[in-house]
Amino acid sequence: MTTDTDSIISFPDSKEIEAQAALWIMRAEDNDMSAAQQQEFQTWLISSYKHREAYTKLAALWGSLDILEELNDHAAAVDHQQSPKNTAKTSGPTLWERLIGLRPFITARALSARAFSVSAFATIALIGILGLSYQIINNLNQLHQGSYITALGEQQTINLPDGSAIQINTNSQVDVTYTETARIIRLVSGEAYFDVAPNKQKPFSVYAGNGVVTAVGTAFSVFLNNEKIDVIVEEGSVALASRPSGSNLSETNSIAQANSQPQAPLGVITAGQKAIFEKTVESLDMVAPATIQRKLSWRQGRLAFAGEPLAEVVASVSRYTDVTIDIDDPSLRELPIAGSFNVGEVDAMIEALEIMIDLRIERIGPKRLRILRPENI
Amino acid sequence: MSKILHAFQQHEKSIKRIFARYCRRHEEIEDYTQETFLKAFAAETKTDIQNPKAFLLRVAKNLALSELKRKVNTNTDHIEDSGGTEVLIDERQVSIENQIDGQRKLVVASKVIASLPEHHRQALLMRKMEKLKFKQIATRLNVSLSTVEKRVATALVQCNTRLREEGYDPAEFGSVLSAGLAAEANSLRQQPSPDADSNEKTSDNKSELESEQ
Repeated sequence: MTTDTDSIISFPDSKEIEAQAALWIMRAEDNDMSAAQQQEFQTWLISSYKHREAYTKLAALWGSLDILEELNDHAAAVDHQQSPKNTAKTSGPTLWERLIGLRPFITARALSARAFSVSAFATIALIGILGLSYQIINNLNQLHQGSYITALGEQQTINLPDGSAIQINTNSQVDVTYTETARIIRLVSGEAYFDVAPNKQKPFSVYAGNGVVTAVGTAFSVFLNNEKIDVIVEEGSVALASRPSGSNLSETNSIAQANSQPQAPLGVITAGQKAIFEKTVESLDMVAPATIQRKLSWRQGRLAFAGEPLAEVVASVSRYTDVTIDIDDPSLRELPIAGSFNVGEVDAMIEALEIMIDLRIERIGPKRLRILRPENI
Repeated sequence: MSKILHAFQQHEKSIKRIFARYCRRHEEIEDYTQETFLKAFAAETKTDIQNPKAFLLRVAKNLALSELKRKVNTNTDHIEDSGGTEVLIDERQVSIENQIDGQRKLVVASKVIASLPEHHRQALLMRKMEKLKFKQIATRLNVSLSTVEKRVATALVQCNTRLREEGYDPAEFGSVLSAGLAAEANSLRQQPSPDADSNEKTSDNKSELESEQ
């Protein structure tokens, strides 16, 4: 579908666009679009300004063609005329009367009933058109909006209409608002990886906590770890900025104002860099490609470690389960761990730690584990 | 193209000659001629017309005759009713302009639609004139739903193209019309109900109209 849309943008054919627009108007008419069709329609509508223009113009014309209903009255008038008994009196206001504005009061009353039925239909149709235009305007200003939440252990990939994709890690929430001028993402909690389709006119900004990570066309991940924002850039570059605290985007609606809020630029990081920041950049590291792959291995549904301390591994694993894991022994916390696990299989992961690393796992309750040194050591 | 439109284009001069016997003003002749087309085309949407030329001329003659009678009647009625209706007449004149505007648009729209190929015209009229759902049209024509949607969609695009060729802005054609309809809807509220005193009702509704503006 993406390639289709691309080829339409590159070789615009107004006749073809009009034909498509008209077909979408028809499909929308009787409200029997499937969810997939609605999605396709949205994608079509936002993929080009030309599409929206054609749609808006043809929809206006389509609405105005409701006037054809009045043909019914004229057809009836001819029927009356053709039968000799019913002549002029029942066939409605004449042009002459209308022109000079002289109409007997009684006749006007009789006519008003007919005029009402016509105009009532016309008004209903008009409301229909207004509703449609409102939808279109809404679409123009806010081209895509969605809120995506993953449960513990769940991952989700969102394909956005501009070709960007967001891969959402476990226990996270991402709100997406696309407007005519900006692509605004709010990472409410958790972690997500962003593969951004290039568009210089529409910066792609990820709001997380008090930080903003802005990209034009790149691939990066953002992890909101308590208040700290953990950014890893895999391709291209992103700009980091902080926002005054208390300006949290608590409502999706306020996202629209996000652009106007003051931001303190903190600098740009490029591919292969990992930064942790909030008010200021707290750490900035060059990361080897292999490490990036490992850090982002969750995207392939794996958790990979190569010598990270046990405490860090446990923190990572905990993000995929509602089981709390305690490490009481401080000396165990630094124990280096290597291995890779399937994200969804938390029990298997725990079991692997138990067998491979030779640790003792004590089950304190259904939702609580403790990691201990083996008793015989 | 519809038979009536074809015949109308060929015999427009003959039709105008019929009205020229009854009216002097060129504009009036033109209006009646267009109304003749409208009535004949409206009739054509309901039944098959065997002899379009004869039918058009008959519609024109009937229209001319009934208008002539009405001019006489109207004058009489006006004299009888002339007291106390002045306000009403003033207000109605606004909507009269809209009605004429609406009628002219209906003529333009009808001519554009009459010029479409049969299949497309038929499907569009079933939708817009008879107010049928696409599914109902599909059943009646014994074609698939998507065929109906395609036919009507094509008809819409063709209307758009023809209107542009005729020098209209298709989008504006709609908005001007909508404004006219809105004004007409407003003017409707001023219509007196049968059991109320006309003058009082009129002034009530007038203030209602003002408060809306």
